Amino acid sequence: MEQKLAEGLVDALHAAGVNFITYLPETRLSEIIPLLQSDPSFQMVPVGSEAEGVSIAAGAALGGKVVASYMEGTGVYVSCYNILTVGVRYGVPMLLLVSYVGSFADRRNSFLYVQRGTKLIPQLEALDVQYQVIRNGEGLERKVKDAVRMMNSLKQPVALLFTEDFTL
Amino acid sequence: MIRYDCFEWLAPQMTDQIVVTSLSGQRVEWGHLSKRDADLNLGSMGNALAVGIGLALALPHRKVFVFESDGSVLLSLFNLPTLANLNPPNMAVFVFDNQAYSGTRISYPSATAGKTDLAAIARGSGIEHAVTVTELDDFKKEATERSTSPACASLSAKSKKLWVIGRSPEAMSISWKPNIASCAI
Repeated sequence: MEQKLAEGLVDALHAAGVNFITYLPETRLSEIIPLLQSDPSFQMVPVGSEAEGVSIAAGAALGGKVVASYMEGTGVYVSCYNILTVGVRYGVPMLLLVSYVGSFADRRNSFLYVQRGTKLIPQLEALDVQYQVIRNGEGLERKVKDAVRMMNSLKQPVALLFTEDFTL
Repeated sequence: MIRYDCFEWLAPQMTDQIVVTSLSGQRVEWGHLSKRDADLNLGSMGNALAVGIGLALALPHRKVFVFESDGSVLLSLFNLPTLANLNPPNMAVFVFDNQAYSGTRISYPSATAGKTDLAAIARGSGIEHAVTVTELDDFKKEATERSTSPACASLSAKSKKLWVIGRSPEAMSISWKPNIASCAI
């Protein structure tokens, strides 16, 4: 991902009021991590599994934080139990920042990623997690704010799936 | 030592501490003994520890007690290195290890009924000063330190304890008599 786009995403998260982020580095969006770490408005929590990333973020949300959990698309599979039994059950607003690997517009798509990509949206829909696919930096701040408003309105986790320009 | 006795002793001492419980019988027992807004009887295997970490990080001025079970910790072992590295000073974790999946009705033995030592895993994950307690008096001694410390800032990161308390699966079905306990952090 180009540095400018990474900066735009971090700025958008900042503008949307996100202040607590769990993360497991992956291959598409990881440029945002040092930017997030250098901004003191974000409390950054590295995790060893997307499953605990979701649950730690949920705990922080119950403690009043505006939370996001950053993961690769695979992480949705890993954390679906946590999304369901903590996030959905307890009505926890949470922004899932998901790199949409294996999608049509994933510029680094290959046999390694495509299976998980084609089943990601069915997985989210099975969990009844609302989502938006984001392809480029156009209107990024507004889209992230929309997602945060949506998660707070629903009191549920919602997902932003990043592909195309974000996968370069 | 039995879990209920530990809870019975702990419950009256809770003031503004946040308590997060896991799924096992402890959820029922703690729910019976404590009726506070600060109790989160989560009811989800493998999630209490992580949710407790999130609460502890978000609310550094509050103490967070997490009551875990052996089966629940075994389901999410990745929590232990994360906890060790984050090391929130306002958090204490009690793992009640009964060596069985008691909710299965047949109390099928968990890995801790075999060769697995949760306290050793915790120490290996970087959680220092792991200890095991088997007697109620020892539990009280360890728990007192955690429950009476006035402020999180006064707690040494290295003084945290993850208590792992166990009892035999055979005892489970007829009484509440544990036979093993361990502790870490």
